[in-house]
Amino acid sequence: MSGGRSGRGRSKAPRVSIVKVLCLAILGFLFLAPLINVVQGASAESLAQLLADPYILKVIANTFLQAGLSTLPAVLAAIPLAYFFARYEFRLSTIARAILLAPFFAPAFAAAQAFLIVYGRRGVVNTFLMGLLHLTEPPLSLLYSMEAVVLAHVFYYVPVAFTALEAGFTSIDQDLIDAARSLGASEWKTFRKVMLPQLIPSLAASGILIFIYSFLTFATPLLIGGSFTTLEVATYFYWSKFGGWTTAKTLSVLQLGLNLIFVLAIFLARERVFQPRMVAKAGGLKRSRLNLLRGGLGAKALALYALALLAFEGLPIYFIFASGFAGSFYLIFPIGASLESFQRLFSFDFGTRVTVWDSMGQSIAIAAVAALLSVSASLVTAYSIVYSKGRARSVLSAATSAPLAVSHVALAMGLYAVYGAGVLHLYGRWEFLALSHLVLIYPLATRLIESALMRVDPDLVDASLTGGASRLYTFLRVELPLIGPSILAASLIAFASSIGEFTFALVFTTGTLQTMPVSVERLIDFRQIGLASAMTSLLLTVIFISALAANLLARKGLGGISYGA
Amino acid sequence: MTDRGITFRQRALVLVAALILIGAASSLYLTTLQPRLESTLVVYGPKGIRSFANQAVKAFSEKYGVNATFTHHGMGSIEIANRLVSEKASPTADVILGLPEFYAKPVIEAGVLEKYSPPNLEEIPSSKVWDQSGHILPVDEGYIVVVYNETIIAEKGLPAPSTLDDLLDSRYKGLVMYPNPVTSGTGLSFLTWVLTEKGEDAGWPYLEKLKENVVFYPSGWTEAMDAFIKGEVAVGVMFNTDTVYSETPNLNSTMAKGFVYREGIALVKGAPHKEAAKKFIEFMLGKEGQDLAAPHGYVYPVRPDAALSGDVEKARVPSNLVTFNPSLAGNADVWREKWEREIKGA
Repeated sequence: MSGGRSGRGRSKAPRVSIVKVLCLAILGFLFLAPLINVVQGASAESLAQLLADPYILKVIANTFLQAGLSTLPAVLAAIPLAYFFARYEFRLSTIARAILLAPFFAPAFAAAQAFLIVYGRRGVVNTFLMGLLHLTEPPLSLLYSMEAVVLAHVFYYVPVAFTALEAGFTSIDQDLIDAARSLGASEWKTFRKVMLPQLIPSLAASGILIFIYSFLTFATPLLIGGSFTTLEVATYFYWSKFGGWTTAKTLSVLQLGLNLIFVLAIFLARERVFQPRMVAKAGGLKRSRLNLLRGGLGAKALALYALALLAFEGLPIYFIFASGFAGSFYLIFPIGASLESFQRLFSFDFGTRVTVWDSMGQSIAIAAVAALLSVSASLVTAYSIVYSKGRARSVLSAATSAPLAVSHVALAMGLYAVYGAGVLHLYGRWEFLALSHLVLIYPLATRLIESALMRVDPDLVDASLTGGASRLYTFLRVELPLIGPSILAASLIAFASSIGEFTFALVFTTGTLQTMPVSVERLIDFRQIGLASAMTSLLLTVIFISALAANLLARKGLGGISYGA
Repeated sequence: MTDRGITFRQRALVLVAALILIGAASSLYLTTLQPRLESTLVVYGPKGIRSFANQAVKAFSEKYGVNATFTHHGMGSIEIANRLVSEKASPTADVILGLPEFYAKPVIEAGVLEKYSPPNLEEIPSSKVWDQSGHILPVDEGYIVVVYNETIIAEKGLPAPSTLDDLLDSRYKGLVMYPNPVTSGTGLSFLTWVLTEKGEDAGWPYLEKLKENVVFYPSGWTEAMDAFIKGEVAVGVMFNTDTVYSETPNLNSTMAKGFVYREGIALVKGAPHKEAAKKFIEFMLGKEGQDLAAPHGYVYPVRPDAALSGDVEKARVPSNLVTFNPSLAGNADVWREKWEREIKGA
């Protein structure tokens, strides 16, 4: 395929016009309408004021600084980890992978809880160090600072880089490595000279994505950042607290403007990520079974490193689970582990005619609807991108990448104005929450399905089309079965994202609509912290199982899950 | 090919049907649980009062066979009041519950409330009635005090703080917190306390100086209590009832001085369900409504005959109480922005 990606569907012009129109309609409905509302509310005068405001300038500088500081370690930490997983096979690797995927979905408030337990003044790390070094005062003061925010971002986004890089390693040609090794290059030199250059696209793609995610950070600085304020937090304050709608909308537009630069970058990086895959149908690295006894020093060091990173990612998650069983926030180890909290949880009276079962049912049903809709929308979008050519392709690809960089506060403002209030007046209805989740999930689901669709061998499609099959028939018979597992995986990821989403869930619900995060909040209102922990454990269990299943399904299909590309 | 085509088509059909079924079943299930907002009495209020409000709305609905709903829009007391004002032309709310004393003035002046005196108002002591204009009726009150972790204070050999000025003691450096006034109602009440007691001229420099001792400003009640539970802070400002909270056995207060946080209820002008709204206000001032304040709101009812229970019953009440200075009314919006920019900073 010398023509690379633009050569797809060359033999018989596929009828994508209807699909393309549909794709644009989806984008318009989900993103354009809310964002136009936001942009309309902004003003040039306000922008001039903001750019001369030292507070806002500091906030902008903060936002860039923390995003940069979060991205670098997250990406660097993930390289050896991804290499380890791409290079070695070992038992429990599926579980280990699921543990590495889970932090991405951990609700921010739960992660903040876990961080307090692990990194707090009297937390696990400090207690350990105090015992080890015979100190009377905790040596580390990590929380309530920019450093805490950065640490939390590394925790959240190592999985993003890990999945992207693992996918990156599969595009590396083992023959090249063997050639380098047989010419006497050391393992390190081979990595540096042969593998690293081929990884650059995945590094860039995941780096930009992590930068964008960190740039848009909201709950993390609010919960553990102390006085450290970012642009998204300031926008939220102006929107909801200071009554400065024009300022809030202008801030959003400013943020959107800055983010468009990154979107352009991510788009360019993505174009390169897929290029080598189309040319070389490389099978990736030759995998060998991990044998710690006979393996070299390198393998041992790598295994140790992977274990350490697994602990860094897994421990906070473990503590969230554990606190549900311990029934109290400050029991670090669930010595008195019991199911008592869970038993009480299921008989708890919220006073709203809603039981825990209803709450779980609502969460699961909303997540199911949001996942079904977002995956359908994403399938249409991915299809129209993959089978477009030239400029149309570039425009579509950029347009569908853009939502990733849209501020959630801006989306909330726009969605509320356009669909929550106004003619439709969906506020407080489950349809509105499902819609808002659909908006949040769609960009990620699109990326996942697109990357699967990209890997379908174009020759198979061509063969079917030249054999006289219709485009629809070919899609249903050739492509869909091949990407089926990936679609299911994307659905599960979408499902987990919806279940784990807190911000919209808390703001957009009322009355008897009480999804699981709302129940957690209500339990805290009743000062039932033990029950709130139990509820959070339940929530994470659902998320973890979805992530595990998604991981297994995606491996069955074309390649693994990659949040990054 | 035909055979396989049929099985494929069947399989695809089953799959699509299953997906549609899941979607339809989910939608149907959610719709049956959907609150029917159009036909109900709508009570607006801040997020912080939702536990109390939900219980009250439920009890009221059961008693009168009305379908009442409490809505907080995820907002705090100032925002929900501003929301009410923004909906002046066509109000969706019938009643606003939990309107704080220090933000009453702008809401009254905006002309979104209608005066109403329920027959049982006379059963409430006149000293509890703070809105003399008669728009807003008292519902409950709470006391904000200086609290401390007695274990940590003892370990460090420090005295127990009890006043605003005590918090400035340099020995408490790195031990103090008060909730963020932008995101927390308790924090905003503390800010109001400082500006009431010290006036604006001395209040802001006080907060600037206090900053030297502050570790961080928790965004809400949970974060604040968590910081105490996990030993991140040792001194702070919370409600008096928090000192008897079961998860924080070390939390104490001298109860020497406190600030009274008072909130009320009001009828919305142009309320779509005016008669039901009046009934609800009467219900909230009656014994049944007032009995719910302590167990579900962790606040004190305004009726002398209402029951105290749980933490509210156990907690001691501060011996000296500072009440809001009415001449400061209506500035809470401006204060929060000023605090965010000048005291907390970015």
